[in-house]
Amino acid sequence: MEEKQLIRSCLQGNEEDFKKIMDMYSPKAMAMAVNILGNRDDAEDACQDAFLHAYLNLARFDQERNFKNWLYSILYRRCLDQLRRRRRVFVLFQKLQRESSAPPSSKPDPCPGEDGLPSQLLHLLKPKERTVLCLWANEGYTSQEIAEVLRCSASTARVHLFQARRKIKKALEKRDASL
Amino acid sequence: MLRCRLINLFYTILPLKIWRYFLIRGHIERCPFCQAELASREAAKSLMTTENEVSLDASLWPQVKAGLVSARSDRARETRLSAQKRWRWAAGAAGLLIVGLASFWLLRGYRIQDMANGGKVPDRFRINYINVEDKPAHAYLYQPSESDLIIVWVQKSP
Repeated sequence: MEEKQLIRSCLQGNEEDFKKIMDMYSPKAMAMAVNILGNRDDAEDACQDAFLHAYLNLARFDQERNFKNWLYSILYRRCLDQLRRRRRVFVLFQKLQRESSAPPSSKPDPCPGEDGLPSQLLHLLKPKERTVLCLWANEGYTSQEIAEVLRCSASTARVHLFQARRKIKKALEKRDASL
Repeated sequence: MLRCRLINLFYTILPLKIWRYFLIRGHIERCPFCQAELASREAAKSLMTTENEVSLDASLWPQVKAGLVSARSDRARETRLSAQKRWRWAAGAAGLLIVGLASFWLLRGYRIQDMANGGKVPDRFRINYINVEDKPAHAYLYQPSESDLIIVWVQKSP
């Protein structure tokens, strides 16, 4: 069944058709979330939230628009929420660490370095830059499409992309020089 | 190269998006030296997790479905609560309306009674005669303005 038909079917209350949409987009969405968050658990949470939000607000989706971009836009917001939440937890953790004299047994690692996780170099970028770079490199998006996901102007998206590419190039050169 | 350095300097010292966009469009996108300073798509992709590398341990659908159920029950509760709230407001408004109407009718009743009396206050106090020690005495009545208090002053006749 075509994507638009599936969406129409979901709007008529067929939940199972949303599962098909999810099966279509889950891997891509998950990859994007992992690239932004650098952590599988958080990425899964963000994806779940994004799909749930998408289903609940499907009636508001303009079917003339691209569903994938709309979904990515929701996912991007959810990822930012996750990062904010993580920052709050990290601040609390640091406070606790300062108050207690005992050395901590573990600390939250934004990127534990497991397999299938993005490079640590990506953490040199801001979340917005990571998103832009991911959409550009992984999805082949243009600045106009990136702008649609980020809900900003195409020129702003282009500036973010430029910043991200420049930072990554410098980081790669530095890494290669140290090897 | 000197121009590129100047552009780079301008780019760094003025962090305004519109200005930076102007520089990117005007020079950086066209200049091969500046382009060489940027990571290529392939280089960027090599740092990313791609959809093929992401293996979902389990489908996200069961969790999303559970979320849908709880979201629906939350919505139903919200609808119920908002209906209750609407009823409370309606009851409050009806109560106020009843009190208002009752006050209006009561005040209207008083006003009609006043009009029937010609707007005058009826006599409520009268002294026919006063005797002090079995002899008629003079009586004086005082009533302070805007008061119901009446003072009776009695004096023996000479």
